Amino acid sequence: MQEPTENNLNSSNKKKTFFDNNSNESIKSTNVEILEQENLFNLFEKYDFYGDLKFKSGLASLIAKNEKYKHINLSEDFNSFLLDKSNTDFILKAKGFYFSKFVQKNFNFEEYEKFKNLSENKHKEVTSLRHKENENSLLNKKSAIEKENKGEENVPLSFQQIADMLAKGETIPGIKQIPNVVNEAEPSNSVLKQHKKPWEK
Amino acid sequence: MFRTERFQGYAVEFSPFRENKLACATGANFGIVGNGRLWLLGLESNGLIVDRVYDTQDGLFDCAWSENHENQIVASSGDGSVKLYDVTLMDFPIRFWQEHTKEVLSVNWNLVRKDCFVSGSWDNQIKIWNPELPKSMRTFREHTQCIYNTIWSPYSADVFASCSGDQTLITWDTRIPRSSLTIYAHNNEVLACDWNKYRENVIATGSVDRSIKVWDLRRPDKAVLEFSGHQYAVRRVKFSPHSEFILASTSYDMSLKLWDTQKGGAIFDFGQHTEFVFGLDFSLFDPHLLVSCAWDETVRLINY
Repeated sequence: MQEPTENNLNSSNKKKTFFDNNSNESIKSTNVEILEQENLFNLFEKYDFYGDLKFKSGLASLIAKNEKYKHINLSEDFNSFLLDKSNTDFILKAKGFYFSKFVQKNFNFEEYEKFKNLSENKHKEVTSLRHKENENSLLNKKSAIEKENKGEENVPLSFQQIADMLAKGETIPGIKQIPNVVNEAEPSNSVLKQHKKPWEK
Repeated sequence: MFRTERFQGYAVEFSPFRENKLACATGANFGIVGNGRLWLLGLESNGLIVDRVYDTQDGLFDCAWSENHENQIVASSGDGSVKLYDVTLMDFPIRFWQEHTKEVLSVNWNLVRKDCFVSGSWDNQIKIWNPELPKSMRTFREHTQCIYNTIWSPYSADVFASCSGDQTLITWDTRIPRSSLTIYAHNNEVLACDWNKYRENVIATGSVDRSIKVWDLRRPDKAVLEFSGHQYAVRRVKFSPHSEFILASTSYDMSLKLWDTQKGGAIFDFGQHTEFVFGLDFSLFDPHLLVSCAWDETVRLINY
């Protein structure tokens, strides 16, 4: 990552930058191609923003203007500002604005955020039920086991059905009680020789 | 194809001793609530058959074959337990440990010294175990969020890597209580990591941000390579044991992909699963054979 120099910081403070919506300085993107949305998202994620001086100086002036970041001394703290995870959203928005204005005009930042959130939500959906389930696990499991003992025949449930049942506090049928014991029989002895791994040959 | 009926697959692993044996760790009800089952499968000329199953109280999220005993396999469970099975014995493990306080998402057997394994848990802790000992040998606490993967270096008996919901990849040396290196690998949870088998310092990571990154630990400030192409979170990554340039990944987008790190792109896309794909393994004996398992309750053999 390139150090922000006194020079580009000063010049960015004097001039109106790309972050000013009313800027007269309209730079036309020469590279507006019709790409599939997903390709655009990938391009956005791979774009070397910090190798782009115009972006860097614009971002610096944006930080300088923001009340929230008044305490930041840009000539010293710029790089640590970029690395600070709590600034990720701020920086991402700036990147989105810049990218759609100057790199790929048909890039839609809102759509990108939706796309990004889809992946996150999918994973959260999978793990949050498990996390939640832990909080009242003892209670749930006990009653589930009792129900199973009544010998009810159960059909496989879909993910959504399970999610709904857990949300309503219903017990999931068909959970067996497995004794928490070890097999006391004599364990086997190893007789096979170890193979060399393909990368060790 | 083999059906793990009523159980959704989280991990599948080939035996390092017998080329026609593999194991699949699964959970009922998508691993959210209910029992787990470890399936021991045999690869016959007409496909996969079940040799034996072990049922557990809670879902199983990972398994690892012993590297020095052909009949031993360890499985990790949602209730925090880690269980060691002797595949010649029925029904119950020969040993189990209840030390982790939350889901154990990862177990991995040491590839060099072969006498211990590592586990990683949603309790943010990493533990090192010797199968002969009643308690874990070491505990490492530095991750601040759920741990998803813990993988030994193929080159050093003491070095392993871990990745976590705290967005980092950490490398460790078991002789030292603190970590060796922390990489802020992604801007989202890191669900998968693996070591390149031919390059001692190269690790791949996969994240909820949908990307796969390849890192050189000697220059950890920036990823060497980045692959995008998965539409949802990447759940597992593994380097091929046969080629330094081949990397496989599974994702919530229901696909399994192979990537060429030399040419820099996807070279194979397996789309036959109909639900999230979790587990994946390369055969150690057949350079063109892969296996995968998924929430669609299938274990699939893939020729590439």
